[in-house]
Amino acid sequence: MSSAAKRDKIKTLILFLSPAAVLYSVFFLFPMAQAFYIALFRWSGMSPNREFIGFANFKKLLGFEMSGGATVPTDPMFWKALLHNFEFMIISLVVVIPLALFIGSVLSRKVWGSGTYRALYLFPNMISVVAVAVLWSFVYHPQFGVLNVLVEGVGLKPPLNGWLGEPKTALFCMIATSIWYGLGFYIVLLLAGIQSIPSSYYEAASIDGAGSWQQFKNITIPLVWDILKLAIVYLIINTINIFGLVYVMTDAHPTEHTHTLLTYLYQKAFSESDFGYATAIGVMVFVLIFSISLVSLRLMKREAVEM
Amino acid sequence: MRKIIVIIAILCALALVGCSNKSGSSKNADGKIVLEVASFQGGFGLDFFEYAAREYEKLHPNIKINLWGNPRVWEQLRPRFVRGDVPDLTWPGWDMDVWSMVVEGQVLEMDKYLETKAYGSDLAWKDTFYPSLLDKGKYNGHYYIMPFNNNIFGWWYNVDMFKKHGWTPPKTYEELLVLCEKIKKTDIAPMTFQGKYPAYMLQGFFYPFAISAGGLQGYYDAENLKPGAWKSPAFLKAAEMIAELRDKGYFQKGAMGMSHTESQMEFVLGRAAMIPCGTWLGSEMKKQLPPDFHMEYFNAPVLKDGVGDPTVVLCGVETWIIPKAAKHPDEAADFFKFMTSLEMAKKFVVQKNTLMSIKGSDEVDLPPTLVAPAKYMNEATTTYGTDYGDWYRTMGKAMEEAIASLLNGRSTPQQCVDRMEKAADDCRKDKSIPKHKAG
Repeated sequence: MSSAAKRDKIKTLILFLSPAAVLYSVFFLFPMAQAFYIALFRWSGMSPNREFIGFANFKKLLGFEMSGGATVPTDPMFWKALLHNFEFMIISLVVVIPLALFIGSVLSRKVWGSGTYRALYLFPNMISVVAVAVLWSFVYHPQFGVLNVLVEGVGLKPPLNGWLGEPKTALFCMIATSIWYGLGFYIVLLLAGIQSIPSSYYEAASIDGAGSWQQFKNITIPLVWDILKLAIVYLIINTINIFGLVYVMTDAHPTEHTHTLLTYLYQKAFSESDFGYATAIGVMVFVLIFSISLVSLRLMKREAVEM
Repeated sequence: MRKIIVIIAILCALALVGCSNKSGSSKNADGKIVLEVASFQGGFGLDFFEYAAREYEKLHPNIKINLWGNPRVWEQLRPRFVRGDVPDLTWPGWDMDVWSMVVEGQVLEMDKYLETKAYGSDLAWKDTFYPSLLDKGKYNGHYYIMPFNNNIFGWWYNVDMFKKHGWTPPKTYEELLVLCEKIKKTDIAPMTFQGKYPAYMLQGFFYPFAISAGGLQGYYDAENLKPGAWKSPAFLKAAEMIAELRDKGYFQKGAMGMSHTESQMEFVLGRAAMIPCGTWLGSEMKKQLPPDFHMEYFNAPVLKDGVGDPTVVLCGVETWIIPKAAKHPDEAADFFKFMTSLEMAKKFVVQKNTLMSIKGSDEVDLPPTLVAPAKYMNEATTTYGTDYGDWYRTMGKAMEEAIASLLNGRSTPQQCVDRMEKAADDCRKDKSIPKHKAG
């Protein structure tokens, strides 16, 4: 290619890429850079006045102090919220991914009614998260909730403070709801991957005497590995970013037992008018998602098998 | 290529139009002064304010009032305050941190306007308000935040249920214990509460009990962050009283997990005999109230040998402000003065089912649910509020967490007040938080 033609090609590339690059910079990169910048200020979000305080917000967020002879975090709520996000993440990973893989493999077989089941599993995901949260609040309702009826039916006592008011149960009730809500999406995601595996592979394997488990382990898993990785990272991001469900179901009360990073961020920004600090939490959420995604992708690095 | 340039040009033009499209107030084409009034649109709607605006325009033909509002008006107002493009007068709603705005010099001082004569009266405007309610908006000796309607917070009981069983609303804590025991024997829960929002339990149980045990000054000391005030014997006593009610099973099961409307529904359905709530209860539950349902207000029970004044009532006001950067502050203040004239205030009481911060505005044919609150208000030697929660928002949240952990059984009374004291201590030591004065 002559240098003039090359230059022309670069020009065209720039021309075609620039609208997207401009939009991306204006609506994504610039706000993100601004967030990093705002996190360095004490700012109520009520006026243009803000005071530069360097890394003080981060110091308070991540720091420790001596109190009553013990070392305690300067902001215990941040760590509690973080722990709740991890609980969301670990339980979701342990339950959703194996279950989605299992149901996905079952539905990929041409069994009777698999089409209907596919729709049924995806159905919760089509409802707005607010509606799901309201719906499940009724399930957990301390007076007329279905769960109370079931629990009492088997001779057990529902928690005195209600499922969503009891510190021991509130978080797990919300995790269960989020699993119910999200499962269908992961089933469909993995199902698409499983269905793209030619059936001849399975036929050959069964001729060679491989059982269902061996076929699953040696054919299905390696061939959907890329999609599985995507599903895991996506689930991690979703569980760190969880907000709407918690906000509607408990409004993060009792706070010490149900706050997540984003509900805490919201409280700091909008209830306590501490936008600088809230933005610092936002920056930490970004760092967290970025690093966990990176680490998990690295851990799951394994040659994908070409079909 | 040309098409792309045209599209980019259109986008830029739209962006510029968007930036310059200020909804600011100024003079319109016919030379009239245009006032922009932004209001929270809650249970009261906007219609009364619209009506007041039209009435005011009749009196002042040189003024035109642009009134707008919605249920989340503060979300639109916040960025406007940040960029200095503000309305002339606003009720920014409950989620706007007006005290931060006062401290940051965003709110106009009202002193000179308050000295002027009130509409339809010989009194100075200042003297038409209940003094303790007007004083709520004071900072460093000057008036900034103006009160409008007045919400009284206390307890409510189911009148027909009480009549049927021969119960009477308890005046003292000791009577309450006896009554709760009787109610518990039926299938009805003696009390329910809005567990998801612990501020209700602070206002409904904790502060009235603490004031009864230790007097109003002890409460002011706590609001003023005096060392030890939040874990004083009176505050500990209040926590112990709540723990006693909890342990004796007088609170409805599951109340901790209920929102305000859910628990209020339990009360309306007759599954709980009493509930703490403000005077907005009637209008909030209007659609759900069965036509034959009767409820009545009473002040939270006090200790039989309590030292606190049993007549004090807990009040909260809806707040209006004039931004310092308002284009027409004088006209805005005059319009608000018109809205708070006795004549308009009385109309607001009748139409909107609420009490007002204007003295004498309750001298009308009151809705049944407001008769008792008005009586308590007029008999009160003074009022108090939970202003600390608006001044020190982080501390306010910590107090809610402490009371929630007492009610859900995670904390003992001592641990509860220790947590409160720690929160007050953190607030006191933080030099970056401007301090206020209560009492």
